[in-house]
Amino acid sequence: MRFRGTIVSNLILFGLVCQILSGCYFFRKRSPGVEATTSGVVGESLGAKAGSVDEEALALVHAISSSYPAAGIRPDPDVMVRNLLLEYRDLGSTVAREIGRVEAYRLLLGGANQDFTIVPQDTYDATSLLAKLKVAEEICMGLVAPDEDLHPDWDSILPAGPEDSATNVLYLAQRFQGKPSSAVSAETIQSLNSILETGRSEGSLSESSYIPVCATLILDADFLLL
Amino acid sequence: MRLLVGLFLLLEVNAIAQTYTELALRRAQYLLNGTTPTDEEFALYGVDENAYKAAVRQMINDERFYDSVLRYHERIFGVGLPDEYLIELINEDIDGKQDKFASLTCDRREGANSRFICAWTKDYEDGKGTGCPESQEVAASVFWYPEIAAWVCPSVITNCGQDLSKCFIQYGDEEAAKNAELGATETFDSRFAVIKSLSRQAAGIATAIAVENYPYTKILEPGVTAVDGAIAHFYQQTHHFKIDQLNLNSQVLEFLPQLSLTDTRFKLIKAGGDNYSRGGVISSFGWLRRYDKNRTRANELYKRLLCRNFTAELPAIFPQDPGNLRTAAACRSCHEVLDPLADFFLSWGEGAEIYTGSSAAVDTSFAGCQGSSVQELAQCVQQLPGFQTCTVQNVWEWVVGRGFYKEESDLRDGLVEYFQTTNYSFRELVYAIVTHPVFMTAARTDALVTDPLEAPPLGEVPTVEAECDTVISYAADIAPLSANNCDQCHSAGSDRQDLTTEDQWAALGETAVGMMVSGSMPPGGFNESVQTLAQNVKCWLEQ
Repeated sequence: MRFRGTIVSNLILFGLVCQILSGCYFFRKRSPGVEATTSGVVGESLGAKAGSVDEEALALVHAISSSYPAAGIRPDPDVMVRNLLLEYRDLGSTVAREIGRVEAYRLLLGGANQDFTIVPQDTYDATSLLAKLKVAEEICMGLVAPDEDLHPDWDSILPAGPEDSATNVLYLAQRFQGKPSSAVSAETIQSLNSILETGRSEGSLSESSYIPVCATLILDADFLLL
Repeated sequence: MRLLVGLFLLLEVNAIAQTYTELALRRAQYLLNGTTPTDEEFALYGVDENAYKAAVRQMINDERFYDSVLRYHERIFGVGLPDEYLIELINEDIDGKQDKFASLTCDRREGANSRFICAWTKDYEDGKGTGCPESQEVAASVFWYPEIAAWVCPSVITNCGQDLSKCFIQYGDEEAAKNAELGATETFDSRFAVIKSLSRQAAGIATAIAVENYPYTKILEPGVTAVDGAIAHFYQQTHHFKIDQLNLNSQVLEFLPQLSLTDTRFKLIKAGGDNYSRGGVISSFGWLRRYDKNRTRANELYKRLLCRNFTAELPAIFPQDPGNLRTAAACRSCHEVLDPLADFFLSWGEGAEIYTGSSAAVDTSFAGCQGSSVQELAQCVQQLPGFQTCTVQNVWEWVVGRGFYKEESDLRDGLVEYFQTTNYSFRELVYAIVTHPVFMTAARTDALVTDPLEAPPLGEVPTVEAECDTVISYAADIAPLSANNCDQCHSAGSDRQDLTTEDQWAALGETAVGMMVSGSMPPGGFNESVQTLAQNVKCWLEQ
């Protein structure tokens, strides 16, 4: 029995490793390149459409160089939460309620007010960072350790059981740092594991143990600026 | 066991630095689609430049590009409306009785097998449930989420229709309702949905134009508007709201049955007839109500669509009564441009009198264009090189994260030229910038540009090159071409400017040439016949 159990657990482990290698993850992913549905025009004609790519002319533009690179861009504070949720969840009342739960922090995050007399912030300050921490904790609970009452029908986005920290931590780092798994540094993994250990309860890890890991990554420099 | 350990060592220890295409992929995918690449996507699209460029093309074709462009336009136009702007539109005297605003409140009953119910708001607030015994409740569909049924009293169906679309809907849980999306959930509240959509309407017009790949100049096309499900629902509430005072083109209401009430995307409507007071985004309800003075409307157009600011050094002592601001020494540097520009909006009232407070039109001018209406202003701005350059600047800042440096003047000009080459394709402009080496490089700089490129030139109305070496006759060289290309719409009795007489061509020929050369008119585009007409008119005017 113990021999068979060892084979089974090794097979499960091997399967998980294969899935990491192939980039197949346990989250709801929309297929890239889904064509936008055309709506057309109701009423009179708007005339001819605009043109398509002109490769020759485009090459000329691309040949015009500059000594200045792009600047770091802060993800729009007004849609950051919605974008994050919709990467893993379907639109519906639970998403709406989740966004509503952090709505009180939106202005503190640097979002615009209703009539845009306050415009969205392009940079961070102490207030927006602190607000982001609070929002991150709330959103991370919904992602990695959903509550049955608050998040009906939601499963955790973690690809493996809570004890498989190697798989789960690497996965979260890839998703929130926005880099290939191979580019996630050992130092990062080590730091995240230390944070994860603080969430060990009675010697065991649970889905909730990963909330601080998730929140830390949302506050990481790689997530704060593109 | 040792094999497994070795495998983990190979996998885990060495983190490889990200390539510049991987960094660009991540940035582009978030900006254009709101998502982060997976390992699979990095492996497919981050390998080299060609794979990256293919990915960018897919991102622009992706359905999520719409959301990103909508948000871009919300920020560019800056139009947001507080809730009270909807309240002021309520028709207070329905049937001569006060408080006859027929709204329903919907919610789900508690307990097992809980029913979704909708009741008259007064009954709901008085704790009367649906207002009738459960045995009398009937099932109705709900227009905002056809997948479910609502249990209602028969009087609700009689007054609100089988799908409840004739009534205004409120939801018990307001916080959830504020962020609910039409068609995705039973949670819906007309108040929040309508005011949000009205706020976004200008952005919706521009986004639909951009994503459908119409020339971007069409965002200022007279007669163009855009309507989503929430606005379509609102426009049908003619007994609850003063819809007639919104000065909508009457054809817009006729087209409403063609629109789905659950559509979260703005659908373009091009209405014919009298569009004297209309110019695409600058005559949307949101623009006119948010920027509720004519000078404000003009200033915001100048700033947001032409990337220019009215700035002036104020005098040390401001005169108590400066008199005519267009000529007063302390004020004229701005007001001699701002006030004539504001005069184009006189057909609209200001503040809450937007609907009823119009003034008589006056002849005015801006950037070399003469006119008196929003329609003429919009057609003028469509042609201005400053509008095209400003569009390039706005898109550049969106994705590159900073403005242009002074030394990047050639780059800005090159992008403007490319924008013109593609007949003002917003999609191709985004593609050109997101695949440019400046975007793709791994380095990052500060967003503050220390040596900025100056505001784009407003430009002159575009004209046509012509060798005027023969005498042009109106009768022989202009009238026949005008008959073929223009008279179908621009004739006496039509809703458009009459262009069938020599005097009319003499007065409006320069404007007409600009519109022909820029492709605004005629709708068929700048073909050989139109080019000949433009050249002949130019030479004739110069004779």
